[in-house]
Amino acid sequence: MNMPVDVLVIGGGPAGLAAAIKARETGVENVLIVERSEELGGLLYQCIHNGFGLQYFKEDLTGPEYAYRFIQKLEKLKINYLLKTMVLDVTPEKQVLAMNATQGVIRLNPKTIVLAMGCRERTRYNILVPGTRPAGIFTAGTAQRLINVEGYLPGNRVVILGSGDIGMIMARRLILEGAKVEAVVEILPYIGGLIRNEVQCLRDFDIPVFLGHTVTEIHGLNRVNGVSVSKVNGGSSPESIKKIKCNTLLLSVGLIPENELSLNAGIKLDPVTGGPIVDENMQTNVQGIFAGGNVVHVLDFVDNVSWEAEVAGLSAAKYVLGELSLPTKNIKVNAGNGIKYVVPSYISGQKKVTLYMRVSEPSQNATIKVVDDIKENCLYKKRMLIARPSEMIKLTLTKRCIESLVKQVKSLTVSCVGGK
Amino acid sequence: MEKNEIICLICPLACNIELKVAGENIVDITGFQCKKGKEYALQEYKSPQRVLTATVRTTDKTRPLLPLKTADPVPKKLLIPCMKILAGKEVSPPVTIGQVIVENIMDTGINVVATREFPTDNLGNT
Amino acid sequence: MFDRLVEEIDVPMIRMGRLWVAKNESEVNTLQKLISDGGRIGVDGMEMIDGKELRKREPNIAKDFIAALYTYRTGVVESYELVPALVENAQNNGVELLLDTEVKNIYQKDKRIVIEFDKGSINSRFVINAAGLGAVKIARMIDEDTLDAHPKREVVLVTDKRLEGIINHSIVHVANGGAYLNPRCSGNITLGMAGVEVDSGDDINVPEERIQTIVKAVKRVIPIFSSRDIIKFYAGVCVQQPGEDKDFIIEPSEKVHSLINVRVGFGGVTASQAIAKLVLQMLSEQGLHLIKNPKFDPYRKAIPKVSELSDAEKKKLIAKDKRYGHIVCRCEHISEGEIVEAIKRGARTLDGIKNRTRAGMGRCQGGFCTPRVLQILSRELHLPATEIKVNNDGSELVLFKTKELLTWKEGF
Repeated sequence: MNMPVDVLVIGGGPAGLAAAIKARETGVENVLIVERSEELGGLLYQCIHNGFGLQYFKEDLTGPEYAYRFIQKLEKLKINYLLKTMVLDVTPEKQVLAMNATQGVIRLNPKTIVLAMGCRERTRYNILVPGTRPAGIFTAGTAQRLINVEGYLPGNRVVILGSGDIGMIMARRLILEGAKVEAVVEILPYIGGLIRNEVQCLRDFDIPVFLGHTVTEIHGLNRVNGVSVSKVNGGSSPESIKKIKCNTLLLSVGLIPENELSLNAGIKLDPVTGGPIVDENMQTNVQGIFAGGNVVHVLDFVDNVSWEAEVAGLSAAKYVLGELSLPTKNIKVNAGNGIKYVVPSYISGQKKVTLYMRVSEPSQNATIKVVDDIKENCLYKKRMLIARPSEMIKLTLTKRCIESLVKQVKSLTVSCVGGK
Repeated sequence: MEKNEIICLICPLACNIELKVAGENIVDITGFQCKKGKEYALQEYKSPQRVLTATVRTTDKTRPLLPLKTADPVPKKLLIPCMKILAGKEVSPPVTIGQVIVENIMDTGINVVATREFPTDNLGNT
Repeated sequence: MFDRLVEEIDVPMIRMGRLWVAKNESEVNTLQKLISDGGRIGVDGMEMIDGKELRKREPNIAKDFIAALYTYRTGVVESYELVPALVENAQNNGVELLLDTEVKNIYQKDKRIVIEFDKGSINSRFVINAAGLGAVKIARMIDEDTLDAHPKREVVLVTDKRLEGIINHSIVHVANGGAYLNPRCSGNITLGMAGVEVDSGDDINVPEERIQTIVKAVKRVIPIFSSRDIIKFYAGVCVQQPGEDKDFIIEPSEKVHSLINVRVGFGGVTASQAIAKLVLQMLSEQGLHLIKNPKFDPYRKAIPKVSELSDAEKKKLIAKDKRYGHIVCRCEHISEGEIVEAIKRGARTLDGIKNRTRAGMGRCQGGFCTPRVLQILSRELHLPATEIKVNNDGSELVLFKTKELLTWKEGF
């Protein structure tokens, strides 16, 4: 199969959908989404819980309902898509190799590409949990797929490692389906996800939570029959090890942007985010290849995924139409004290831009500051009553703010100071 | 006297609000920083409500489950009884998004509605 | 022998050579001894190289190694590819394979050996006891207690494929607990050290301390390696004869001469063909009349890896069975067609699929493909998904259907 494509979107999840729709709305006809799963929507269809769209639609929607809004628009705009189609390779010259059962080998040479592949889950092996290798160990997302889409419950006595949102959501899901959640174990001294989930998933069901603990051993030969849980830095003395009987261990220990294709295409990745280094147009170091959504950095709300991916889609479309003004200079945006990372890494200093960032530690009454590298002029200051690493912080540098940048500025530093 | 701790979800401050309760009476309420928080805590204590999101079995082997939700929050204590009722149900396509699957579940006056489209033909495929 | 075998049964093998590295004179002496030991039994292809040459061949090696023994013929092959290939070739030539058939008792009756298992029994003129650690148990059944096998557990770490090329040869640092780095045909590198003795073959526990010890030993050889590069680790228990270097026992049983005990340890895969020839000779000495089989077909074709084929070959394969076009394992690019073919060839479990196709061996370790592989196994084997196992009995992947627990009368 060989067809001319102007904007190729790799991934049909929330990022891909938003990017494709925006590209079409900006005036590009030939937009194609390539999706590896059986349907569009990405992980939204297995996220049957609500909390989606609170900002984007100002409504409290479930994952499938959020997906539906975009898929409806996509169908209306008659945007083409391929399902059960895997992209195998992307070259720096934007040559794409994909495959599916009906068309077989598909080679495309699109004018632009938007990478929207999302993330994979961190595994038990990535975090080096000792013990045996019995059946019954799952990452939370895989378990969610099995329970909500395929219709199978992995087990009925569950320990969950990690108190991120996925872990907490799955705790509630398991209880509602009749399983027992013996414990949620969290290595940090605070809950990893949203407070709303702490209340509605853990406290509502009296699930025991072990903060500052981790799973130090998995037991069981053919099937999990228990896990050892110890206080972090608590030593290996027998008193500090709790053995919890269970037949299932769920891991919710982080997401990793899935960038193998990006590496093939010669795209430079940021070692902190694990995703491509992008500028304010969400363009990577390869001309004409853009990226948006979790493949760039793990976002918290799908609303932000949609907004960010729309920038990528808009930019890709403008590139095709010859309207994407290449920045005359690249001002580097650095993560300073108290900030884990900032996206994008480069801005032009010619238009307003929204910066996404995460703080490295929770703090109260801190101030987010953006200063330049000339005289440390402060461009932007924002007081944060509460700042948490699990909650993405967005700040917009307005046109006026950007215009105040001195011509010689080469970089800006974002930091989070003064908090407790 | 009993102490009840409620985390307010109205704004990111997430105040820890404490209610002191003696029998049926709320003797004292502290820790809130605004009126909305106080109201939230009282409501949450008296009759906590939650939206239930779940799945129901279908007759279609290619899509064995259909996701659904209660159209509005229901009393928290009814979450698991509602799940048991849903466990006994089965739906067949076609179902439209928002369609009522169970009317007035457990006499709450609240409907359980589908949260996705479920057309009669199999998953669209190229 | 091996080169011919792997070509006939279509199994990847690379003779990349091995560097046994030394950081001081005492270690160099150990290597010299290896050369002379090898020379005595006719092993060739060994030469010493100095530190400078070593760093030329391995730019990422730690700077303080002063010499290395280079054995150019060392090669790597995967047991999980070799064994199914041999089994398939055997089956194609008429050998019957009985799985889930644990030997419960074995004894001599008239001039034959009776083997009893759960679902019945068979009797045979000759028996080859090649049951690994279980060979001892089998031997005890005929009152033979000369066989011993002290279980030895080895932990293996597997690196991400992105490390491919970081080393060009297999590397062993004998003095450092036998630390080794083995680049595999797949692009992953396996890392490990000499094993430790354990109580039973079931003890496949990976202790924390072992992971740290191996990481440290490997970093000593390749400093840029980090534990962040690990995508998988596992422990396996194998045979070790304590005391003398008697790793292999290949001989007819004292008690029942027509039962040949084959209990091998480290190096067994490499020596497997030679061992087989020896066993054949012993059987012949016992009176088994060996005639060349004119119908023997030495060739066996592997399951085609569609992602590695050319465009034209891909198209041809997909035209034959379009399921080869549907990629199910994202990390390793494995298609539904390969999985279905593996099931046709005998795979019944998730590990069976993993071993025969590599689906699930990538960096996400089955996060994406497991639900899909489960569904394919259920469909092809006509079994409910709750009966599909990861490997052994009791390792079913999913325990219940959603809603099953809620509809139990006892409630919860």
